[in-house]
Amino acid sequence: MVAGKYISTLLIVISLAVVVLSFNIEEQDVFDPSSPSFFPALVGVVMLISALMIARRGIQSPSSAQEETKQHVAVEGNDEEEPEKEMYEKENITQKGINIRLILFTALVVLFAILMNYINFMVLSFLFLFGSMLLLSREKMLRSFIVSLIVSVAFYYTFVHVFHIVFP
Amino acid sequence: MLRKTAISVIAFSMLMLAGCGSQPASNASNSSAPQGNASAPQESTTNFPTGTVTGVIQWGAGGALDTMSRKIGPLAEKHLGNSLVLTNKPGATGAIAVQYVNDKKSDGHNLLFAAENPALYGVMKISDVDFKDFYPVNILARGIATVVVPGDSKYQTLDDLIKDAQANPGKVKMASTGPGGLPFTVTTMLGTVTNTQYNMVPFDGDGPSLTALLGGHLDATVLGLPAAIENAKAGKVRVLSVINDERIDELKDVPAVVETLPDMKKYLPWGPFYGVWVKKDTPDDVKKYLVDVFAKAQQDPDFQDFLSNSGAISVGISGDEAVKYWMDWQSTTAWLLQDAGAAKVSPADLNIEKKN
Amino acid sequence: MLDQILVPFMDIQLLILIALGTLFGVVKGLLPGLSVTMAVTLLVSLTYTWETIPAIVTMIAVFYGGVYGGARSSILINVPGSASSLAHTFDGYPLTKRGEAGVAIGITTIYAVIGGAIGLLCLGVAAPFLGELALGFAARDYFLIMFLGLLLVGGLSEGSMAKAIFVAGVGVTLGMVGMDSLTGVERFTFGNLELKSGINYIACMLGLFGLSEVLIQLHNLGKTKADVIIGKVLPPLIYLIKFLPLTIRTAIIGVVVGILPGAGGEISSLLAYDHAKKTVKNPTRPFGKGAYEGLVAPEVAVMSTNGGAMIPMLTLGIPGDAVTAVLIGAMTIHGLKPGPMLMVETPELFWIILGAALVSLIFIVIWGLSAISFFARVILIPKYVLMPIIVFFTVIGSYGINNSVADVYWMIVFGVIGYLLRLYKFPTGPMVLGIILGPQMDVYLRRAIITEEGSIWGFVSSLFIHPISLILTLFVLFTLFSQTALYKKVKGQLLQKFSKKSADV
Repeated sequence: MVAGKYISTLLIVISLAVVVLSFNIEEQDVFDPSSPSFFPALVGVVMLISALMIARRGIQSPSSAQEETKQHVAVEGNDEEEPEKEMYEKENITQKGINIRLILFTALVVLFAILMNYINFMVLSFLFLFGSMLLLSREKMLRSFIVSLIVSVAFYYTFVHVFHIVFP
Repeated sequence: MLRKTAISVIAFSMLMLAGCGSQPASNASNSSAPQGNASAPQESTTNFPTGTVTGVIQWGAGGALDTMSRKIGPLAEKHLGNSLVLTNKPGATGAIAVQYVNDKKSDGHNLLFAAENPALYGVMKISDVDFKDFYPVNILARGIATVVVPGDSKYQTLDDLIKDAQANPGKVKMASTGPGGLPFTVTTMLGTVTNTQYNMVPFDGDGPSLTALLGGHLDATVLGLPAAIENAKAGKVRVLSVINDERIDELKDVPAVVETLPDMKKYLPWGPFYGVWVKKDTPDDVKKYLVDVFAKAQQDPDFQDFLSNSGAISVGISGDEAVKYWMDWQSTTAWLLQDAGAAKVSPADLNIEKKN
Repeated sequence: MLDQILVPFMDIQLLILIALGTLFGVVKGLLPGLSVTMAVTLLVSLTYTWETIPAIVTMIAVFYGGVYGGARSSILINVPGSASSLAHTFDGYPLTKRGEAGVAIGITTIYAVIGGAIGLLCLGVAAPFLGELALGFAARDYFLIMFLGLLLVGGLSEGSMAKAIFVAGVGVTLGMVGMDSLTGVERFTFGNLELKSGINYIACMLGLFGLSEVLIQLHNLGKTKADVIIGKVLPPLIYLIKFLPLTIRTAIIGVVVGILPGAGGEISSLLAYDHAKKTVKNPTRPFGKGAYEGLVAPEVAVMSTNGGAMIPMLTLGIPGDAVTAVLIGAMTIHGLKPGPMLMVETPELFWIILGAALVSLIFIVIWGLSAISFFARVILIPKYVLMPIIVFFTVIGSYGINNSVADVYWMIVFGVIGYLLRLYKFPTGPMVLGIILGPQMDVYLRRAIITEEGSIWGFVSSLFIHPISLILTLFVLFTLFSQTALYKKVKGQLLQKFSKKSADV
């Protein structure tokens, strides 16, 4: 699998990086077990070994892994006494839709973090909460609005006055 | 489509708000009435403080600095005129906290509660920002070190310990709390004066090294006075020497180190110290105000009782006097480390005068 | 002096304080990211002007309540309330997914009390002895314990050991970023001051479990089916008996880890979980899918650790974990002198603390069992509302560690990493294990070697010479061995032989 090869190579590169960086730790002898670079190098080597083993077995991409588990479940499904109940209805959305949603949501969180230094925290939390709720669902906007309002105000006061957390 | 518009509107409005200019400490408009109201706040021409003052503690919760800071904090708050909120920001031998306060505005609303460590940041190559970038509001107190051994140790006096070390260089196990830490420096002092070497076993702090000593995993260690007294009373340790130029009242039977090793006198008095700092370029009247506030707090009988109970010696100096204090300390300690080969940067390169 | 135990039970003011303190602790514990240590620290300032006894008693209540409360968010939303509740996610969250959130909370409550009580029993009966025992642990023993904890990785692998090991390795490496505490040398910092202080494991945990969980959940925003049953609240009484041996064993693990200065709930819960996995042959369900034992073990351990941690605090003045370190500071501020003389000069303090903790346990049952259905309904909140709120908490939680936005960025980074890991079927648990245990293992290993003056042979032989080390070394070797194919083969053959024999008879 193409995806598999990329990931295995990535893992190997990471392990090698760890080992090399360990050698570079200032003025330390990697082979002296009492030095700060011994353990990191050791860990790097272990990582390298596991990365190679992973490469051998091959990485599964998400979709193929799901198919495999589905087959797995179909075979074993009758053995388990209490199958996990389906907690959620299946939502109608495409893979692409999911990816867009994920990226936007993550972007919102990052934005939240960046703006923490510039905007009053209570206002910012309200915006973030309301914004992300809207992002995720267009329905019941009023409810989202109210909940965001209550949560941001309530927790702002709790954190500042009860916990004395100083916000930027 | 509608959803995407809504999102872009929100994102846009967030950016607009940011563009409208950064706001000062958001607590100003939201904090409740100042908690300190015991005595009227000082007269001040510039209306300082205009909001909550933050005290950043350089070490972690529960340690000596933390305990002292949290003891004086509320006392200072009484005279401050607004809330004083203390928070810990440990890491990198306290450099993280120093950097943090240094990054803030020089308006006196951010105070640094530090121990003596910043004086060594230069020679130990820990950070470029240290005491020289700050103004000492009050050096509260200093501590005294002792040399202790387990209660059942074969060493009866400091002399015994040194003789053993001379006979077996590098074998006597002493604790160290890291480069520049108290045990490290004292042991280096002893080593230089008596020409001995020890096996320095590193620990994260006083607590773990004491634990190791009590468990017999160490031969000796350097311990702060309060812990030494308590454990000696219980018979768990024996105090061989007090690193001071004279005996201590609570330990009358323990010789001061100068009695055993007169050559130590050139380093003393010496010990860790704890204080409150503010950025160097803070306006003068704000500095004066803070100095007054903390002077009152430091002299408060409650705090003085605390100091004597903790075996710390009250210092209570500010401004130029305090600067001289830490510079002297720095000079002694930095050159000591340099001579022992433990410094990463020579004090000479940092323009630190050599005293003796 | 024993009668002093009753003081907290009789004094109305103290009772109220304990009730409130415990409640505060429980509520705070269930907010992900806000640690018990923080809560107790802020109580130090709050109670500054109070008299000593009420102040200390309240802090004890918050301590116990908080450690207990952390389990709740682990169970309900798979986000650990604190590092000590990490192990609760393994079987707690699957229980919620099966609709048994109520039982899960009920179990943690009951067993929290049992575990806490056992810990306090040890405190009351054997404190001085246990305190001395703790001193006997040398650096090499700590190393062995951490190593044991790290071997838990094998149990979390869900299949591919190699993946688990790799992820753990990444965790260990990340844990070593920063200034080495032993030598001050910088590792993996690339000269950056922010990296100098290392990567905070709480931010890592919040991201790896909190944010990534949310991101995974975002795959499917379907409505939660209303007919998911919350379930009974109390497990059948039979279980109390069935789990008794496990309870006692994990409580011992908890107390032992507690008395060791510097090792606290994070470690005891993991060791207990691992122990349960290895020793319970027929769990109520497979581990990782909602086994009751998987919840009992960590909870008992974590609460008994509280009691254990107070032993060195009270007998030696040395903290058994982070919270007890703060408590020691608080005692100093109030004019007490923690140290070996504390019990001699103020013995009543010891018993009052014990009594207060017991009362706190009672309130844990009260607060814990009430409103269970209310809390369990949390999962019924529509995802599009719940997810942002959870993320909100992870952000605040990561910020609140050190009042630094940098930690929030780390949390986000780990969130994305965690999401990707899950996507490609890599386990995430080992990374947190690595980040917490890795650096500690490194430090203890080096300290042990230095103590032996740098000689590896000296180090290895010390593992076998000293009794405590010998026991631990055997444990480690056995654990390692039991992972290998050879062991499984031998075990299989032995079992076959036995079943044949009984069949013949």
